[in-house]
Amino acid sequence: MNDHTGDDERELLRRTVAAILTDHCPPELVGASEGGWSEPLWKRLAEAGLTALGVPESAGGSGGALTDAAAVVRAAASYAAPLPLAETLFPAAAICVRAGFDLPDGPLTAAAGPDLTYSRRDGGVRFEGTVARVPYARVVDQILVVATDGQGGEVAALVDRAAFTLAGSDNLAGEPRDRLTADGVTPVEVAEVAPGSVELVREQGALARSVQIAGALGEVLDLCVRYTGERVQFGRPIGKFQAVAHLVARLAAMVTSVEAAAHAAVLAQAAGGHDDPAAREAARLAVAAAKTQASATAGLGARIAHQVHGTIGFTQEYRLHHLTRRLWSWREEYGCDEHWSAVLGAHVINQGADELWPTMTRV
Amino acid sequence: MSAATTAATGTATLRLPDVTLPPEAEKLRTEVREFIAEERAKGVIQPQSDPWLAGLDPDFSARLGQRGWLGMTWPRRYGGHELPSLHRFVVIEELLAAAAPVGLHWVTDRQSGPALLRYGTEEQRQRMLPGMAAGTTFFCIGMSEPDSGSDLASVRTTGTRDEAAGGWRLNGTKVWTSQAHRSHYMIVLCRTAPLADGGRHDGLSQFIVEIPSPGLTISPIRLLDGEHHFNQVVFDDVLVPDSMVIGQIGQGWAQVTSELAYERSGPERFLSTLPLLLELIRVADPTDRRQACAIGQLVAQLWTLRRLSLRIAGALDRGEAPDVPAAVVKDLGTTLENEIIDVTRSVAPVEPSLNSDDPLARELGRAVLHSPGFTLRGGTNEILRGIIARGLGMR
Repeated sequence: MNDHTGDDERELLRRTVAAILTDHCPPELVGASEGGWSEPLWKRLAEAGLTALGVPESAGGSGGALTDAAAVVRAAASYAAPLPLAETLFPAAAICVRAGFDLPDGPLTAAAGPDLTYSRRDGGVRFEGTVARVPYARVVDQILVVATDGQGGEVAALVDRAAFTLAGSDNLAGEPRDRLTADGVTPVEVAEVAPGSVELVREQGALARSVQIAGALGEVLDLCVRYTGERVQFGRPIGKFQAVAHLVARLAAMVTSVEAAAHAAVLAQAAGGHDDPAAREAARLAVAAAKTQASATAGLGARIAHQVHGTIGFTQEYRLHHLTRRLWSWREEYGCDEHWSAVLGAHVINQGADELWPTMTRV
Repeated sequence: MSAATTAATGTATLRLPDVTLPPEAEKLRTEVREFIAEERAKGVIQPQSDPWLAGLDPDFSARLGQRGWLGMTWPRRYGGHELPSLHRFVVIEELLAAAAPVGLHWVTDRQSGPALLRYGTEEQRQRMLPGMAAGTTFFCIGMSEPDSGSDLASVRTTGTRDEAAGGWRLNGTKVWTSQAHRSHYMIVLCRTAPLADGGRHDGLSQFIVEIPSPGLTISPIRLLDGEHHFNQVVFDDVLVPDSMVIGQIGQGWAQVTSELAYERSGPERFLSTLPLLLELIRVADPTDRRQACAIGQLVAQLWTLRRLSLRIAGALDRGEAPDVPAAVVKDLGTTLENEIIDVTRSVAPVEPSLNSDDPLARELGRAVLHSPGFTLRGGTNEILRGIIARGLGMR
């Protein structure tokens, strides 16, 4: 009934990740990895079996539930770990499972979008077009590509990174977000996938970012609580001032709500990951709600955190910025709150007022 | 970074395990929806904002009692049904979402019954709980006073020992007492030992006062829309026999604060203006992106709050008292209730009117006039943020 056991397991996972990252992911490493990533850190997590969680063993993963993958991603986000972990465990893993590919070793990213198409030629498949802002494209060995033929067909393929032209750009936190161009790329392994797979990449990415925002906001809250207890002005810790305390209380409420929304969306995805159309739709709406909530809250939370921290938080001397620059980036990636609230709202209006409550209680 | 080292700080108090409703609770939901459909067909339910304050129908309350949907978690020997809080959660969220008239029994079922179960005497329980569970006995709460609002410990209504009469004499004034004029009993918090004798939370006690009683005067305090729900209740030497003391004399503060997680976390803290949101959805155009975004953003918050509220119901089932997460739900939920008004105004401009023939104008009018209460009743949002900050270890 109550998901208590699962909760204990996730707490154990969180601690495992935290123990590794406390030792091996200091703020200096996060800063030094901007524009790239940390391969040694990835290897440490991989050795602990944490980089293939939530993917069935039959598909090359290390088993476990999607909630386990989310626990790892969330914990990594709270350390601003410079790794394509969210990309590997959510969009890339979901498409691998759908396409029947074995999850390859090493970090992955997924590239999909309306401007990437495929055509069949000489018994093979050729990819052409571009995808903007592919996370960590420049550091992964293989990229999971999903493309359409413009006539309702969709295929997925695992392709060596070197087959594409990449134009580098970063998000505000220095995480690679590269423009990928395919000019007649011919993959070795291709599979037809169900229609909607391009959109599934966005949906899974939005879910992953929601979980990451929850993790980063949680750590931001911890920093705020600690800082307002230590920083003394007018003869007392600033947290004793009601105006400051109320700011942090509002932040705490935001953290709680984003965490609940993200977790509920992970559960809905876990329940709706397969063929039942109703469960699939419920899962999509849950992601829409979670990313709306997470994206709308990320900036407010960052604003409060910086206000509470004063000028030190506005400098690279203090680690808050690793988290807040991610929050400012993640809220736009894989669809901002405007995008996902429109998806959710249009669905609700189309269904009609009388269906709102039944829909809310189904998800 | 050092997330691992911070697990022991106050932020851990915010985390509650997620809850999945058991299949029996979902089956119950179907039954409640069928019942609601019947009541709607009879015209008993006419959706309007703030139903748990303003929706009053004794026959409806009694029908809920007959269905076994009041006192659901209480022991059978007191007329209850010994079901988990999650079952009650499903029933009340369905009733609130339908804006059913639950106002008469709301406080009784939510907190007066549980208070008696926790602190009442066997005699009190046997005498009162069966009627409460049947939806025929109603309680109201006497906490606030003219000079005691957020600072509840400053109440000045006194209870003075009267040995000869075998009880206590109550003197003072309570205000904003919802439905006192429609209730059978009132649970009154008053001071039975002077402030100077101890800490300010000492010396408070709870009594059950029968309505009517000699010396008790109830007079209306009308809300902005003219409705009569609030009252002033004056105690002039009202005699309360010893048998009507709740718990222990002097322990009133601890007893009162234990009700707060029940009072602050339920779906009534974010569903008050759902009828307005539904009217907005009825007139909205799915191809109007601004309206779709606005509605999606409200629905995302509602959905999230429901998940949070459900977690608290789960914690209550485990016997916990999650008052900090409950404060979070109430702060966010009541803020959302107001935001539904703001968003409606911004994407579907309409002039509010209580007697318009346009349902959107009517619901907006009702919601606007009831809105100041959302962030006041049951603890102001400012007080709640203080509780959250204390829970975080800041104060």
